[in-house]
Amino acid sequence: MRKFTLVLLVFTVLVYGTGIFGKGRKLEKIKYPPLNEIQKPVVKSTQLNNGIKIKLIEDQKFPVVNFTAYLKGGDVYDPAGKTGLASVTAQLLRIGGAAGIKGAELDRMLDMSGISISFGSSFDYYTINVSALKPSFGKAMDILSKMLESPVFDKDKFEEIKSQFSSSISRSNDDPASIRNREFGKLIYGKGSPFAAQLEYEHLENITLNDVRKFYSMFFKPGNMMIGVTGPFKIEELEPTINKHFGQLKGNPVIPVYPVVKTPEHGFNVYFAEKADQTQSQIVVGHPGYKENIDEKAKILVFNSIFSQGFNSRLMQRLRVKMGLTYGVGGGINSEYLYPGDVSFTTFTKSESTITAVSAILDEIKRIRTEKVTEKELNEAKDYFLNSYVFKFSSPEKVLNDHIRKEFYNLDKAKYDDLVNKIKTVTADDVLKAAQKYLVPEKIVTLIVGTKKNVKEDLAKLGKVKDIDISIKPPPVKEIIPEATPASLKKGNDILFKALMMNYSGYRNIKTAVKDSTMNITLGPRSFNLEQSLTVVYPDKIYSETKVMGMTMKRVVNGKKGYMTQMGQRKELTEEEIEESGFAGLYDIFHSKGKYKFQYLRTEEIKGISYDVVYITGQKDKWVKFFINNRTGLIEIKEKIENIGGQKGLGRIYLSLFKKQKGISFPFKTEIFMKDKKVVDITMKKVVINSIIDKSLFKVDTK
Amino acid sequence: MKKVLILLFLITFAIVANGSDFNFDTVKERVSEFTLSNGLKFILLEDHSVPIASFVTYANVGGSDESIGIYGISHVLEHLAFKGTSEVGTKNIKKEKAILDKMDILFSRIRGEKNSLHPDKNKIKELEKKFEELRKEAQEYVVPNEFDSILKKNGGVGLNAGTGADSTVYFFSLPSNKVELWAYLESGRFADPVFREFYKEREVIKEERRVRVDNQPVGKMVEETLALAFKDHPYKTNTIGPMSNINNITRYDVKRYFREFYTAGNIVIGVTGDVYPEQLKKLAKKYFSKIPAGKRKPRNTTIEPPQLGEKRMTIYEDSQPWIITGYHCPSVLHEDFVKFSVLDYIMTNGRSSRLYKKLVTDNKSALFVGSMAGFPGNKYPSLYIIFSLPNMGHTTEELEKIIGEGINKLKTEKVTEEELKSAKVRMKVALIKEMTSNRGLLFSLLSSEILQGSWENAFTYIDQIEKVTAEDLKKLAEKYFTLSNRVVVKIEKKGEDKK
Repeated sequence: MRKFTLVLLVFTVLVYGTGIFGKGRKLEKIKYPPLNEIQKPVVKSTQLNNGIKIKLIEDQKFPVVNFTAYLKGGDVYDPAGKTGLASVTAQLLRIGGAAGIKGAELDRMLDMSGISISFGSSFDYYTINVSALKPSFGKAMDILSKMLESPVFDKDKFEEIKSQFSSSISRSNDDPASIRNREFGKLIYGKGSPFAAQLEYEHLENITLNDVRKFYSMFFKPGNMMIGVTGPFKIEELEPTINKHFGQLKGNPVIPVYPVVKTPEHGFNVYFAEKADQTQSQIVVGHPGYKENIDEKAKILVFNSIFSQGFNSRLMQRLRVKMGLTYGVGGGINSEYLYPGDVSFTTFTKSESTITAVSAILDEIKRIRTEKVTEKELNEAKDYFLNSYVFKFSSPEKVLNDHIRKEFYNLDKAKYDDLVNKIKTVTADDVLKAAQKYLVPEKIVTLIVGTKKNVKEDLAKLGKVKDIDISIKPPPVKEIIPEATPASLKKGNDILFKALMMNYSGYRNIKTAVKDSTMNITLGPRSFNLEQSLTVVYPDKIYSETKVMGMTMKRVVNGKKGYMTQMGQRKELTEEEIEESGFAGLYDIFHSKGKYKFQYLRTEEIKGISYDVVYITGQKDKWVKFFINNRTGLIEIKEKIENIGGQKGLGRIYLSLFKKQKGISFPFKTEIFMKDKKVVDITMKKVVINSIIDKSLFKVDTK
Repeated sequence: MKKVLILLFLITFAIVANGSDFNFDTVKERVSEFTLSNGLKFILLEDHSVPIASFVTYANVGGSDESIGIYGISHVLEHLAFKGTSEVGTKNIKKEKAILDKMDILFSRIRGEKNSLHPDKNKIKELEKKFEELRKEAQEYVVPNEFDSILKKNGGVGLNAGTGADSTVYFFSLPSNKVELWAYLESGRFADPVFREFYKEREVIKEERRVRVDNQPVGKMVEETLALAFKDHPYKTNTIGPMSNINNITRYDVKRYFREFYTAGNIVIGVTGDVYPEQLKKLAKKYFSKIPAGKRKPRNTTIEPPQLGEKRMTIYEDSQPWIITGYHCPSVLHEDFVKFSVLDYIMTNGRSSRLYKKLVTDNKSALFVGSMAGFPGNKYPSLYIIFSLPNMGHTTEELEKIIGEGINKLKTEKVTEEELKSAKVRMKVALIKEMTSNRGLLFSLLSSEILQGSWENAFTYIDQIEKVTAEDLKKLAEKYFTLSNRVVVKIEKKGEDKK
């Protein structure tokens, strides 16, 4: 094995006097030999034709292979309302099964040969870890390639993951330190920010297997994979093994735009989260941070070491050693590669000394921003970095991770390699300037998790106080539909058909319809106006054109095929999407006998009008509820699961301004409400029935 | 077609699993040992690939050596071992020691007054005021954290320690040209420690107890499980000790405890990395010979008697439910212990293990299930525990029932050959992986040395595992998994007790 020898590194250590220097203790008389040369392990790199990058450090000592694949993606890309999707995707790929083999069978095979495979979703990336002995490494790669190439999106395993995630939500207020970390994120990045997203029951309800499939096909592509291996292999031996199993994978990822951090304004200095029966408060003090900047990194490392990291740091000295207030202090200026991290300091102390501990931290922040650190502190921190440099090479895994991190985040390798030299040049003045630049007292918020009555002192001493609610949002209430009986089915049938005959009988003979409407859609703070023209040739052809902000989107369904175009891109519709377009339409109900069941649920009064509620189910688990005005027989309200702009949930559709044409009462106004908020408002401008339609509109074949 | 594919898969599998032979002797060859004339033993695991060295001092003392009134003292001592020596951490040792002695006397008086039948509050106040003055005076002579500070500037990393029921371990790493610095510092703190800043450190330890136990439902549950399962043996207390004992332990108690347990014969020192035997021997002689001679401490004579009937407890906390099911099991020296380890793998290690598959995968009634033999230690007979967390909408009763059925099945049917083989393969792989970490292996050598009499046992463990049969496990289950031998402890949501 060729090794690259690092020149340099005979660090002379300066021992700075501590008062008894020279008084004759043995310590100062010890002569240290120069450090033996560091044999820096060499990282071998190669790339497969499909884009998979491979990095290897050969390590012949043991028959153990450690394999990690890194893929861009991760939790930060979870869509709003679907927090957890990246994690669910990663877990399902691992346990769902592959190439037609059941997940449980794969588990058994892996256990039998002592292979462990795990998938994980981190903030900015996915990881796949495999650990195996060399003789079973080929098998491990075979199974992993099957998981990646032909995963089974198994419903039962999907439920297993969801039930685990729900439980972790229910347990999310059990541990005070994790409450602190979670709530602090929300304070500095804002509630609902992808940088502080909190998993909720509702998100799990929103996540579908289709979402998982979509995430899988966006991220898990060979063009998105960087593999790091340490083990008893030469690159000439490893590359063919990986190529054999992963060479046939194809494709590049679709990585969405990285979200932008928007930090909220604060009207308060202190936030308090109440947790019952605590004799200790969990504390964090800080504000949003900064993106990693290698030119500043040396100063920041020295600052952190002096101020808050390690047993000798100022915060540890003050709070633990001198004051006996806590067992631990941590934190620092924590930069991230892709987004601003945070500047935060954490500790915990008995409830009665909460304010004392917070004040001590704030006081130390003030001090380090106004006085230069001592030469002793400075040199101790610098010596630590220089003398412990060798530990960067303490294991092949460490060296490989370091290498991969630089490449994954596209870091300036030369500058990172020179960091140790940059540290040598840091001055006390640099540290002071860094403290002044990166610690911003006006932005600091303090979060305390504990039991307020045990704190005893008045928190207002620390500034304006706000209590925050950490209670867990309960799962959305699901209506329990009673078991259908022959009687309720007959009644439902009768009510519906009476209504159809009264108001919608024209659907029996309708051939075509053209509807023009204007729509307004409101999603969160944004609102769009759309114009839509819809052409239907019954029974199974639909053509729609929607204009929004100068763009035109088309959607075409013809029998079992269909597609949509958006910004010139064509996307085929899935079978499910096509089925959905006709589901429980009145035409469909008239013309497909036996396809639907109509179950009468109840008679309900809404705004003074009495409605018969009929629950309609068809194939699979789709359903819709019709609220039929029991005087006029008009279907005035519908209820079903809506998916509008990625926001999925129970929707209530109000239909009004009915006008009758050719035996059909058309609603000229449609409003869709989700969670009591109007999200869609449609005004129909005209309806034309049975006109002649150009059939070429419905061409779906590309040939 | 699908079936055939799976079959093919399995056949290649069996071959692969058998082909993983690894010769443990290649690792054993890197280990050497020697003992100083005072009885202090050194174990060296060489590895010259990187110029670094890691050091572990393993003391044969822990919670199970304590007695009522001083529960928690092993851990207190561990904290104080970072406070320096008469050369490290002081500006003037003579003056400092004089004040420390005065403080000890004063503290005894305060303690005496506080614990008297009818304490005089004014007197306590007055004494405490004097005490605080002395403490400040003593602090004048302290060079805070000098032990750590010397290490840090010399590139030391990973300085820490841990106290368990059976042992106390101290460890850090240095660039390998600084081995002598380790020898100086480590020998100093065990030959000539000064337990300074004792009274502040006690507050730190109390915060540690609060964060690990008092404000952590699982921490409380573990403490209660021990208290319930053991009535005589010191395994009955949590190593950190009760708050009242932490408050009353004196510096004198610590000194006495230190003299009793930190003798050369009761400590084993492990070194790994770029260090040669001759080099280590020379330094060991020069620095560590001053540690007072002494023999390895005999076992605690208190023996936990057989449990007479099932013990159960539910604690009510601001937490979602948990359940621990425990059975008394023998010590690591007993031939049954290794069988428990194999059983442990069959029951909960890996997604295909019995209880994991049943509870987590198939029934979806648990968020997690895990188990371990040798809780809280394995020097003495202890517990085999299975712990599990019910999923939302499921109860501890459900879990208890399924775990109980799983346990009973072990008594009526032998585990399958496939399960046994699968467990052994995973155990072997885990052992080989452990060998890849010098530090991990060193810890295991040291505990084998102290608990089983020789570090070499770490290498024969694999043979013991191989010998375990399905019949052995059935007999094991019949012998230990009885209701009378069982302990069940649960956490239920606060308020449930009022229903």
